[in-house]
Amino acid sequence: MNTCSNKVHSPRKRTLELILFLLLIIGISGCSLFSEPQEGLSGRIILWHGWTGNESDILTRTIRQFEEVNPGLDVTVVSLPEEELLSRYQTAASDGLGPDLMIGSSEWTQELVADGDIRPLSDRELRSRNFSPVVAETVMFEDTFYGLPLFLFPGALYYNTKLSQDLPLTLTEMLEQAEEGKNVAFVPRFQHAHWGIQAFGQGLYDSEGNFTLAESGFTEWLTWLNDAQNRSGMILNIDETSLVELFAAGNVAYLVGDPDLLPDISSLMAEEDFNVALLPSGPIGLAGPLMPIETAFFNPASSAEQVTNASALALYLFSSQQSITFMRELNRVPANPAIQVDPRIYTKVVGFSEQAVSAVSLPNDLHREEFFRLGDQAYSNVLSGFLSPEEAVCRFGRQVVELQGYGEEMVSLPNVCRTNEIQEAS
Amino acid sequence: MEEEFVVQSESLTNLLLVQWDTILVYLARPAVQRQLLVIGLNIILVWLFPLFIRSWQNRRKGRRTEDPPKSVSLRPLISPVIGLFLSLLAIWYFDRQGFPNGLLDNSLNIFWMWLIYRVLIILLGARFGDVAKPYLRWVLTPIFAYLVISQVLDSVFSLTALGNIVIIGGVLSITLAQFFSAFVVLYVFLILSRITNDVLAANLPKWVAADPGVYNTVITLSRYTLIALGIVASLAALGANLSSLALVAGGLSVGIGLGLQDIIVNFVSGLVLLFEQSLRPGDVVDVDGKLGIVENLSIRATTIRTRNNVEVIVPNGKFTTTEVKTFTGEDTVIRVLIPFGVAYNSNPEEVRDLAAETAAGHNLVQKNPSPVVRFRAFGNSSLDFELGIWIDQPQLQREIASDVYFMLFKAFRHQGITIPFPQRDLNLGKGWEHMIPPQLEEGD
Repeated sequence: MNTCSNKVHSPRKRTLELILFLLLIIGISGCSLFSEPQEGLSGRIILWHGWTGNESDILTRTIRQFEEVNPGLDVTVVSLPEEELLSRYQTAASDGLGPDLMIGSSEWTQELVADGDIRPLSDRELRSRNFSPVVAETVMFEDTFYGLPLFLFPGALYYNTKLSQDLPLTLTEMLEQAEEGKNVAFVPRFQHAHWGIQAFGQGLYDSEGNFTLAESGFTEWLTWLNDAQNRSGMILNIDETSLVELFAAGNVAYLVGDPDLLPDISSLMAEEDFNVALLPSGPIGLAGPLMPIETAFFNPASSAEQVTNASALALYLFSSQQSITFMRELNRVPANPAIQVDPRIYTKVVGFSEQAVSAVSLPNDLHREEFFRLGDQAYSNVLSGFLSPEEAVCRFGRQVVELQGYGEEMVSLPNVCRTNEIQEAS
Repeated sequence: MEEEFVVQSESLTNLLLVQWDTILVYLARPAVQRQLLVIGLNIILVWLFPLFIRSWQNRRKGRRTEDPPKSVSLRPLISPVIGLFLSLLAIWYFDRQGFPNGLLDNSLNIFWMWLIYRVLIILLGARFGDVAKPYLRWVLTPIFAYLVISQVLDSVFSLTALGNIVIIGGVLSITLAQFFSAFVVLYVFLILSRITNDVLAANLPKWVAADPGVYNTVITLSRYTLIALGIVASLAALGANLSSLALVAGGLSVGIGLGLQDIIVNFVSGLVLLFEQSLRPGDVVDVDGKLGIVENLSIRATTIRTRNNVEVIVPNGKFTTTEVKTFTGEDTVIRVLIPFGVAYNSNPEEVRDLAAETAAGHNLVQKNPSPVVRFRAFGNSSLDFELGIWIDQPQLQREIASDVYFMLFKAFRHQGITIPFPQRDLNLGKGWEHMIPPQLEEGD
């Protein structure tokens, strides 16, 4: 008899072994999955975020408090590098994996909706949340809410309290103060310096989502910038880190920036030495900075129980009590419309909060990355003298129309663009 | 999916708990359960189908358990191909239903890897036969295993987080990822050294015409150079600062020198022998009275095969610190002296000529220089001669000497030359007659 034949397992035995193995796995997981029901919420969920350092610690502490209220609930909190958060979430969500709840930028909404990686908000999640139109539009896609706004990030004006008490209310005043030695610094790029467009006219889009370049103040704003860059005391530089250092060193009185810069500035200078105020307005209206929103997104792959738990956790973070906690400890600007920011207590947050009122949202169906790249090109073409403001705006307009595939009825380009087209055609 | 547990995962226990919780969360999701169920069914079908085919074939062939050997069997490809087909089918269905199917995609990748692995095994086996087997075992199988394990773990575990686990703390902080990298680097270099060794051993004589000792030197040096490079690269992968390492090594060198004195001596002696070329494979040497042929020269010891077919491993230090006879230094011709004696009534000239002529008749005895016979002495009972013969196979000196003795005995007997043996007369005196046994007297 062949001795090797003793080692060969019969098919039946192999199958039995496999089935036993699978049953063992299911049994082990079942022990945890189907545990006894408890009071309140129960189960497990995962939260991903891109917060770091002290911010992350405070978020974790807040979630542990939520777990204390719901002893049957276990929240696994995972902090990922912010620049990798979106791509990793997309990869995981396509597998049916990933977190039940993710805190990320509202600018990801369109991409995530297109891939089916986030679910719409339920009625319960939206109940009685009277978001401002700008906030609502930021997290909406085709009239549906796809995220719960948590914190606002509008750009505003940082100022050095030792160098300036008399804040510039208009762009003209800002130029005058700059010439007097109160230097002004900001990054002359589309996202950072979008705020001046609305000060010279309408925004780039109207409330219907039409591309209203002709009515916008883009050309005038670029003209103003082109002139301002040669004035003394105006520092336009794309190196934001250097600008922050100049501000912290007392070389710059005014710095335009969003709330993200707060931790850096706080680490470099005393809290009482700087503050935040509204950006100066223009001849037509208030400054309108872009306003990314930190948003809670929900995974469509979650089970019913996980959906309930994730929803409860998001609403807990959104709640007035927790919004105030984050505002107090992290200077986060709450998106919760019920919160009234007390200017005596939250001296810095109030600047951003007030600026949020005139902040601008862009439509969620934009090809955002390419759109911003085209906008940056327009700024750099003008400031380098390569194109006139009118030419840069016309080129930007045509490129955006082509990028987005807008029909005639959705676009209004400046007349000068039409004239140029006719000249080029002839 | 890789996660960096910046907040929660300072410790290994914590990390494992987080990972376990994560898996439980995933397992509770219908989207994951659906995919796992399909993957499980797929595996079962892939497992059972070849068994079913074999069973069916056996029934058809009248219970014959093994097929007759064929040139190349494609049967190993059946399972991965079925796995691929079923995975593609499942992905297509999931796509149509709008279900997430990333895990199915991962399983598809694994089936592709399995198919490629099997195809490579078949092709290499067909091309190189049994020679390829060790390489498949050392190279292909670990690569396949690594790819499959990382693909599986990457779906549900955080490889980055696992890699960040510190397994050795303190000043020499080493993470699991560093340890794994160091292991892989060392493994790659060891395999490279093995492959280089085999390739050079097989091809060097074809590429370059040189002494076998030179081949051995090149092969050994290249092997140990690669191993040394592997160790250095491995230490670098562990995050070791090579400059600091040199300082530490300098400090430890005294201790190492004392503790590992013999090993170091043998190692250095090995290098000296390799470079000096004073000893080469094939040399016939006599070490401590052991005569043998040098089989292999390694960096620490030399293997000698004696005439009894016993392998003796001699530490290299022996060759540089003691006297070693080599019979194959400049050339391989040596002289063998064969002493013999004849009776006093023999003619010495006749004996001289006959002995020389007889020895020259052996086919392994050199004709030039020819055998020489010298009259050595008037012995107690014989005229003593010494026959000197030259041979070029030193390892056979005893066998040749024995042959020549046989030939001399025959030649002397043929010529009536007596080979004496010592004779002694005993004078017994008187007083011992009563000691003779009676039966001996009767017999007389």
